Amino acid sequence: MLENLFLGLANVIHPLNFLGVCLGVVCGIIIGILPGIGSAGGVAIMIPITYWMGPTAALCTLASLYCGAMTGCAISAILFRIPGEPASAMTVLDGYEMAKKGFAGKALGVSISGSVIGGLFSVIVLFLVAPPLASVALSFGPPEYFALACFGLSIISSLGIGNQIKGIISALLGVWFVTVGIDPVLGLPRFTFGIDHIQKGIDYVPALIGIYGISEVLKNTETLSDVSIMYRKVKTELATLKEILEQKWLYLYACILGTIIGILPGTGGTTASVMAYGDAQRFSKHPEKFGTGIIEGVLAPETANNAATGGAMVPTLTLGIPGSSTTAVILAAMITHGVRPGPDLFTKQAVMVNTIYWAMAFANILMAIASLIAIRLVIKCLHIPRKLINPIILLLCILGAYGINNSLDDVYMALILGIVGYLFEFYNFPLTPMVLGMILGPIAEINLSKALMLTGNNFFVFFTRPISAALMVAAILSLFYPYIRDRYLRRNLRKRVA
Amino acid sequence: MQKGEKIFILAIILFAGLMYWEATKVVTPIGAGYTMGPTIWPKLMLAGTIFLSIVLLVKNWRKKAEQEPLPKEDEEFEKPSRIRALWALVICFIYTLATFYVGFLIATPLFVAAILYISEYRKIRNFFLYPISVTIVFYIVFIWLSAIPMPRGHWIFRNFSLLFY
Repeated sequence: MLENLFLGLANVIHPLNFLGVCLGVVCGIIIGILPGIGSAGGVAIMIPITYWMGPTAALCTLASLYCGAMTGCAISAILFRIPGEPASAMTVLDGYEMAKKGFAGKALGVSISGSVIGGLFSVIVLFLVAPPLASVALSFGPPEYFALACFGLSIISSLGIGNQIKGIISALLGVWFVTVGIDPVLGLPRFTFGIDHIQKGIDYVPALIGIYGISEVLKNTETLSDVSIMYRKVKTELATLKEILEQKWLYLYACILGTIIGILPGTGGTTASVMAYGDAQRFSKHPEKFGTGIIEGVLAPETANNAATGGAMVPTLTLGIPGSSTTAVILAAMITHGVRPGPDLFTKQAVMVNTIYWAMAFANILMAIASLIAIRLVIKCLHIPRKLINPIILLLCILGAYGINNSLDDVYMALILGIVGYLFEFYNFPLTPMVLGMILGPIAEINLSKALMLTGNNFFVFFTRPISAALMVAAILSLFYPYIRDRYLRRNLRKRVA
Repeated sequence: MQKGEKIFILAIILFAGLMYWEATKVVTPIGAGYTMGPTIWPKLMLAGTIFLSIVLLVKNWRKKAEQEPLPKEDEEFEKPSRIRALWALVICFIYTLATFYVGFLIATPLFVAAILYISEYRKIRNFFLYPISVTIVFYIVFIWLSAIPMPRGHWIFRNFSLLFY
């Protein structure tokens, strides 16, 4: 294990891989700052740029981009009141208030310190938890994998607060979508309508580029106005050791919470930051000050959302089940580069896994350095008119979709899915359940089929094996949790009124 | 619920229904043993989609049609233009088609210029320089570095592309 760890370190400092980490961090921060793209969209757009790299350098780049984007989104949230992505929505509440009071540098410093600590903590957890989990996962059979996929799907479907039904519809359509093509068991074509190109099924990368990338640019072309720049000179002031020690319990809590939320399939940084902010306020000695511009209000969500990055990589690498929408795209990129995530990865490509750990650790440190040195340069990215960025992103999406199989049919597929993504977003259907459905759907289908074949169509097999039974129960509970919670809250409200 | 959303949900129901009907046409061969067949899984997903879409529709129909608040007239915020998004999409489709006939090197600067035009970018010098610079950068990244065989086009366009890659 230690040998692989050192080999991973040697691998990550290889110039090409290290360049990938640096590129990932810089692009991640820029993508995080630019509102509307988001880390998942950013990773999807960056996949084509990694085609010329080897799998290790490509994965170092994308994993670093994920970390960088989580930090970058806080910069625009604090300085411009524009969350680069939903994970930094809570940072706006206190970060922007601090900036208005003239403490923009301090708010940025606290956010970056929290991001680094959260990110590094989660990488350590990833290093400690992933190998034992992978060895447990080696004993998993088809029923366990089916139950795990169901658990992942049930969580993502029940997360959409206020629009659970839309979330479930989105997930179901995502699962259906990947059934197009040849059936994996009997080899019969389904929904192909005689079109040769879709016989082999729908590639993840063009689909994700369409859903996240193209739909986002289409949305961006609707408006022409750019972000108004108020700050031209900001100096980041990192949190001192004394300040960190003063807030040590909050840091620790946000780290643990973020990592655990990240590990749960289908959740991710947004849930982690919302929960961390809520808990920080609940346990604070002065909850009334939250929202007025206090350090804790920036520290908790930023630490938690970065802690979720390493956490989300745990199920992605060990089980091949994405922990968040961004890791779903990273998972698709891994498959594109010929790397099959899952427990076997830890035995067959252990050095690569360790290289990813180190890449994420270095990315967390580099993003602090980048934020300190180049904050003004990074802010300048917001000066670039959106009109000039849109054609570049569209080109990246189109050429990226083409580059997978050197086929224009993939581009048409990405464009069609771009329309689907645009319409779904327009009518408030969340896209993350659809993407995770596309990733988890084939895992669920093939393992359901295998489990039923092995047991002679015995449906009880999912409830007679301990791990699959526990996962199935958890899936059922998480699916109905929002309804039970709503009913409980309504009944309580009625009692109070009475 | 807006009228457009109702139509969108109805479209989902219609689409899922058509796909369900399509799934019924696939015949599982005799002797498939204990396999669940190629269409049970997608049928389950489609049936779930139809059911939940109907639930969503009925649930929202039962609610009293809420009066949509009129958008405040605020000069700071620009009204989004759906037409522009539609144009961008049309340009993307035309570009994809055009790369096949005229090749990547000729279609790309025209594509960038077209997107700039619909975005109401009117700085004349950049309007010409920017598409060419972008094409050069993409040529380096995708053709030189990634060695992706971009479409060369047909006829004289192919000869032109062959000068570069």
